[in-house]
Amino acid sequence: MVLRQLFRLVKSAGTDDRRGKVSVDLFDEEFLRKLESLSVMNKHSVSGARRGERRSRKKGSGVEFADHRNYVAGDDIRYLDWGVYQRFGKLLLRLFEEEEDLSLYFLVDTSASMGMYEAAKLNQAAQVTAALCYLGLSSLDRVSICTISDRITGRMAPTRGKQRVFRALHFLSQMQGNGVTDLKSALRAFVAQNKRRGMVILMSDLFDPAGFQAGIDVLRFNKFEPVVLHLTDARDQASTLLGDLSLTDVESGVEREVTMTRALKQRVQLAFVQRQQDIAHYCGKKGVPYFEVDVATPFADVVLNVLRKGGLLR
Amino acid sequence: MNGWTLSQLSPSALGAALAAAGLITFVLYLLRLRRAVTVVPFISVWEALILDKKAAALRTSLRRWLSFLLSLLLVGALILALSDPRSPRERRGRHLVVLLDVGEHMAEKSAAGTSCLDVAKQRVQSWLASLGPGDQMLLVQVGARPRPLEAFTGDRSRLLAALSKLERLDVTPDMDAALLLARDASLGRTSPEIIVVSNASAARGLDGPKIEALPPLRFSNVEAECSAVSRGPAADETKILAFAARRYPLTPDRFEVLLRVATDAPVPVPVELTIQALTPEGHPGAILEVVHKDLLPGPGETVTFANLGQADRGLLAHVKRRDDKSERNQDDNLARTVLSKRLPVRVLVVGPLDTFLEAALLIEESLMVKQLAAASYPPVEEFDVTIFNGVAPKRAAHTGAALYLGVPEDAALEFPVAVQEPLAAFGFDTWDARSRVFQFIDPYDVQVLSGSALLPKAADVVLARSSGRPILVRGQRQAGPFLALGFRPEQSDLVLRAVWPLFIINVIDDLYPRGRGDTLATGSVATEFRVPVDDGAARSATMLGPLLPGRVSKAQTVPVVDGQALVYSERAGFFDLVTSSGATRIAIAREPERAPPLPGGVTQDKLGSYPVDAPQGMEPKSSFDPWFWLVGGVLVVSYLEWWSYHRRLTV
Repeated sequence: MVLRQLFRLVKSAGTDDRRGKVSVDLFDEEFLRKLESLSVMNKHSVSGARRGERRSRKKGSGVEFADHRNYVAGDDIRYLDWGVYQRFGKLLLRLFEEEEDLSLYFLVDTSASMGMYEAAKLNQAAQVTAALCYLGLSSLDRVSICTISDRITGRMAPTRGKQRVFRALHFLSQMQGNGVTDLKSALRAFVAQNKRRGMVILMSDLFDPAGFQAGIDVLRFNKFEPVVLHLTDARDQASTLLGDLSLTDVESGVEREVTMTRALKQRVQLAFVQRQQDIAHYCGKKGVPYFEVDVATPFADVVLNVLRKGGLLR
Repeated sequence: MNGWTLSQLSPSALGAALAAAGLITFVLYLLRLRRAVTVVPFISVWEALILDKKAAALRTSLRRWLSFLLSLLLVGALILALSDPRSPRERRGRHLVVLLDVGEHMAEKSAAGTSCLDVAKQRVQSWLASLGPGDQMLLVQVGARPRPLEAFTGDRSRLLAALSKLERLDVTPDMDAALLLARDASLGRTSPEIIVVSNASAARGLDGPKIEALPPLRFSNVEAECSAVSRGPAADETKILAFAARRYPLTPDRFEVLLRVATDAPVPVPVELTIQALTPEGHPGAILEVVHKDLLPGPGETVTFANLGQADRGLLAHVKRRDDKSERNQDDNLARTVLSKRLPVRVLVVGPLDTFLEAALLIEESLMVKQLAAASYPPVEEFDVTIFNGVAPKRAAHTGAALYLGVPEDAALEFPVAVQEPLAAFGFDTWDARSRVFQFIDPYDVQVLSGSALLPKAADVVLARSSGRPILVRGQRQAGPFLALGFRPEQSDLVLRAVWPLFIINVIDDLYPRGRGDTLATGSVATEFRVPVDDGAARSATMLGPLLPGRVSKAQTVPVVDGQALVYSERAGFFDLVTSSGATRIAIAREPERAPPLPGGVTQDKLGSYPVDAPQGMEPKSSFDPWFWLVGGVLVVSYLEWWSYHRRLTV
């Protein structure tokens, strides 16, 4: 039912031509059907507030056996392990893992660089977020979405249940590329506002003049489980341009004059490749899942192939 | 410029032009350095690379300056090219005056059929290729009147175009006048030379005194390439000395011809004399008479052909040897003339034929006059001109043009123009002196007792006025042309004057020009003569001709003064003088007595009394044109600049 409504919603959504603004119109029925069979994988057991479908460190009334402990007066005798008592004559109580919900945070970079080229990166981020969001809500996870630049520019409060997917979609459709990138300060604010730890899926082009590492480290050091979805666009390299250029940074407005020759163009391309390898290497070294998401790749392929093969989805 | 000069710009002007161009280039160069603004998402990547490039900044800067210098070099070379730099030697250049003989003797042909004029034209054409960048040529056609075909120019295409239009003329060239013209044209020119291109007969045109201060004179003799293989002795020539024809007065459709022929042979020469009519189109038509006779040596014989007919206007006369010996010059074996058109004019006088009018009409024998009372008008027979003497019955078209002498009192309605007011004691204050009516007449002293002022229509022409009021009007009505006089002649002293008959004859000629026609219809080449044309009011006429079968006639505008065209031509043949009223056929004959052709083997070191030598340095060569190389250099520089610095593509 929800699936059908969602399908109708995204079918009816039009493209927003406003520069830098997101347009969500990408789910088709087949894709949503495939999406139903997926769920977001977290590496660690979680400690949630409500019952969910995630294993938690708490022992309780789940169905998954966890451990035994000695019986003490007052315990529910329904959980006594009568087999152990028969063999060893000891009263042991069977403990089960409590299934709790997962806190799933989506942090979408909405700086001006994400809004370039008809907001291609922002669109891709919104679509992937929408898909993952749907998965999370389907798994009764607590899903929250934040948009960041040098601060938190927008926030969708944590929510659960499939029915809330429309709220998420509405939030995503309001995103706009603006402002400068400062991951460190933005994520510090995020960490301060969200005491409950969980998985943080950071979607950004990581064009942070202060360096992308500081932002990821903030998450790591505060016990969050960061996942980096690095959005890339071949047009970022301005590869078609040659000659005397005046380059202007879309976020800071800094201008630099350069004479673009074929040799320099090749060097720029190499620099971008090197930068991407540096990010992947850093994430790999710190155990942070890293996915490169090219805006030219259809988002369905991103969700169904890239993220699934990379182990983020199961 | 180390002895170099600039034809287009002075050194200061060139310096200013170069400075301005350099400044403009500099500004443009700065403008070209305006960079295309490109927005990028992350400047830090480029910043790292730009810092890396600091080491190559000097090289980059040098490359930009090199580009700028190349641009300066480019505009400098262009300006230099446009200023047309030449070495002093090239700048001085030769000034060649080529006197190309187009006289009748240039018609002589070789066995291959190439005429001397063709050879001369080919020779001059080959010289055009030898003109250097500073050389200029003045091409002069030497006929009876030397005529420059172009101003001094080095433009080969213009000279070629002028050369291609050259045609042989039927005159003896006036080489003296041509040399004078060449000398005057060479005054003040650098390295002038006069080159005469002709055959050996060129010396024949030099009969005047030796001209002083003549530039170096060269003679290019074409005789060897166009002389006849079997050239007979000059003494064997036969020729027509005179050819004339006149109509019989009483039977104007018949005529007699006088032909005077001669031979230079020492013995009698059997010849065939032929008189041939000309078709209205100007082509040879029916043969009218053929006579065989032995032409005796001597000054010439006169042969008369009597009572000939079947010819409209033009007549041709041929003399042909019957002994099959060839003649060097065939042109003088042909002569042309045109029969006079002086046909009788039928004149009808309506009203009283008074003594004055009768006397005036008796002057001209070609007028056939008949008198008729006004009541008997119109007659049955046709007339060319009708004189209404004080009467104005309704005009009939078959009585021809009309002359109204005075305004009738009783039939004013049939008068062709309205009557304005009566006049008394008046005269001719103003009149159209160009009109044929007043040819040889000055009517200023004529006194008129009484008459009427006329009121012409818009299309009518007022020929005379008294106190501004029309008294003589010429016009055209449905029945034909008319001329109306505002007073009776006997009311004036005009009839007592000697010009009265002339006035009447002039009016008849004006109203019926075909009657008197071209009394001088035959002239000679290189001689001006006057030919009456049909349209007396015309200011100019078109002379078409010579009329030759299968060839388009050339048109030439000739002035018409007092109803007579001033005709001058250096081509012999039949011509048509065309005005709005019709065409008049005329004939232009060759010079009646011409100098005999010079014998072959004339020495080339003298032309008349002038020592000459062959033209020098006239071999075709490739001329060096510096600006061509400058433009080529500019193109190379442009390519280098484009290749080495590709900003043109992106900025």
